[in-house]
Amino acid sequence: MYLLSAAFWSVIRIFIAYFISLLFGIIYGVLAAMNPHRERWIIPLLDVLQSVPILGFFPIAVSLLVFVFRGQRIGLELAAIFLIFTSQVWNIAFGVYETVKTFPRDIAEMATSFGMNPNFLVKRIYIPALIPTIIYNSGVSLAVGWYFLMASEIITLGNVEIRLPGLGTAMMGYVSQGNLVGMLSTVSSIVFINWCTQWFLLRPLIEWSDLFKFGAMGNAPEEPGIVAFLRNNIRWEKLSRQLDRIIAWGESIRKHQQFFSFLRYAFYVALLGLSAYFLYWLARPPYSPRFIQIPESLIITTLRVIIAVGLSILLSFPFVIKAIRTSGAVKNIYTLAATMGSVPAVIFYPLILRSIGREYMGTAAILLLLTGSLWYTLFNMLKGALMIPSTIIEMASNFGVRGFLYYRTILIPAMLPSLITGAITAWGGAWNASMVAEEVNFGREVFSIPGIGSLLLSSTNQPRELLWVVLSMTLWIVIINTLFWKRWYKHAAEKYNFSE
Amino acid sequence: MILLELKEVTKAYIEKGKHFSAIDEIDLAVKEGELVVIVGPSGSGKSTVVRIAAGLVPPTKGQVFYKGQPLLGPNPNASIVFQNFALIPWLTVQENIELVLEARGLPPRQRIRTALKYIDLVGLDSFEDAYPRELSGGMKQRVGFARALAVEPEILFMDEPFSSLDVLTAADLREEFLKLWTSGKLSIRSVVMVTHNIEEAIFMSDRIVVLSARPSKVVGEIEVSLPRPRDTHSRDFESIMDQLYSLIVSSHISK
Repeated sequence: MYLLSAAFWSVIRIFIAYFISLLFGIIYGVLAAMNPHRERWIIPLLDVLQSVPILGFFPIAVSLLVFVFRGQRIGLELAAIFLIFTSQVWNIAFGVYETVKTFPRDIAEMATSFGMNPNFLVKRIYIPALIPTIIYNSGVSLAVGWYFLMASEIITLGNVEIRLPGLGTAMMGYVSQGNLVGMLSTVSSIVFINWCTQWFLLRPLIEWSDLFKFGAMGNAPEEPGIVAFLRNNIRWEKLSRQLDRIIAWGESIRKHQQFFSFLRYAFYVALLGLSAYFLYWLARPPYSPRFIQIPESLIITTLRVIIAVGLSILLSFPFVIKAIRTSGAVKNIYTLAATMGSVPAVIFYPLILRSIGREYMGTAAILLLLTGSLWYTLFNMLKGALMIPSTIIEMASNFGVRGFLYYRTILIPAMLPSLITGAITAWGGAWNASMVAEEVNFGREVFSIPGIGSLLLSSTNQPRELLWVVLSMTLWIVIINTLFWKRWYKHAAEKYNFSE
Repeated sequence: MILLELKEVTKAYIEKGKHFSAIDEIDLAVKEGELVVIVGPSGSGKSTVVRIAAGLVPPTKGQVFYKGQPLLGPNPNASIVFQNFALIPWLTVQENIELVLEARGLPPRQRIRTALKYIDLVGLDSFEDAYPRELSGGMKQRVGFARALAVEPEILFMDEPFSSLDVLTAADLREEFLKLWTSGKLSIRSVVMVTHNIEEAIFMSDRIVVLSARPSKVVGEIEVSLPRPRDTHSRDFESIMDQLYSLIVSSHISK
């Protein structure tokens, strides 16, 4: 009974957060991709935000929302929803951005030549064209929301800890009691709910979304019941007219150029002042001994994360090869991955403890990071493998290119861009997972291994120290992203491109 | 009367710090009632010329005039037939046509009436509710034609409209289009078509403009005043073909 009500609360939170993510991700991605001027700051900002670990949003969410609502339940709920949102949204926003960015040129030209204005273009062409990406990424986002549920439902305020009713809290309770049966039943509830969503909601939707793909062939897929239901029960015409009104209102505001630019300057000045004060507050003494631990912890966790990403890529390969060989396998692998992706890392802790023992916890933590990274490489590599033109695969089999030669010269290069995208997102996922993998209170014992995740957890009740850790971690991730991942991706996307 | 005029139109791109032009100082005038075909080797700026002429892409230098007025954006009196159809996959044949009519601001009833009229005109009746993915290439391009004609433009641009179709389908569609064009049933007053198929150019055009390889310049023009329908094996047809060949070859040698 307890688990049932907990599940009810968690489901509500996850889905509210998901709908906000959807809305935000679509607006953010479309806005970014449609205007190169805006794109210049909106995408780096997204990169930075994505690199902030979920617990890094904690101080902002909690202090702001709890302050505004004076500690009432609604404020806490909103804080929890916000935290879930931060784990779901970036994936959707990037998917939307990339889809609009790589929009077929002739369709865009057709739209311009027939005089479609931007508003019409977004509503009638971009948004429907986004449906396949959005649905595909939704499966991942929902799974990730469940994965980080434990980090989202327990809210620490100074020395007070507030636990919202939900499966994440229930899980944490059983973990700290060392109650294995409780843990297993909570995890199975999470996995079951997530599986139901994936199987009954997303699977039919993915099939249907093929209708919205450019260049798809063959019979049009059937419309699932849920789509018909949504179409008949929501007054889209009215909604669309309301949207037009909001946009027209926005346009009319923009006409007041002077007022607008004044507002913008005022905003910049306020932002500058705030960040200056913030930096002063951050940089002034006293310095905690934790600050010295930051570089060392960062390097240890980085090594673990790198190994986890490498393993994720290797482990994804057999699934990808299976998906290419058998045509129906993709959907099953997708559902499997999206279901398994929701299993929280902490459940593996006692397992690893019993089988390997405490001495090897450092190594075992890598396995825990895998639970937060493997699904990303798998999803993206599946997507990439499916996009390889069938003529290339036919050519390979026709000329007898097989075995190692096939992987080395065709399969891996062909999916390299999506492999790198997978690696980048897995890299982010593994960093996030380090929060839940490096420290666990199990029973009366606290298992903790050195690393940036455990350092961050240990400083959650000192806002200044927490921010130090979060900011250095974010900066470190952003630096590696721009110096390494982005360059590699750009190179690969240019070299291994199938469009002529 | 001259409907469309390109004056010293140049398009240059900057790629990896290098400056190179796709088309170089092209002059072109399209008279009312004329079907002009632009011929050039693949990779020349043929499609770019069409996009500039339709106002989709601004030229780097030079100007486009429509009915004597400088063209500053997409020309509302023009429409385009695309090489790869550019149909929206989630809309049926009828919805694809209604979409552009809606963009042009037609009320719902008139949209349906106009869409059905043009579906009928291109011989697609009973396929109104099919999705593009369920149609053959030739039928998809019929939708492309119906859509371009349905907005009732004054000038029609065709960017290699028959290149993605098989030989027989292409021949059929060419003849049907010429029949519509000469029947006077259409709103269009002039047509600008791009192709790399020499026979197609002579078969369809009133005048052929030959472009060189990159950076494209106009190397010559040939008037085609053969009576329609044209016989591709007639002597006159073949002599124009020879003329066109030598023009294209000489443009290659002079490079």
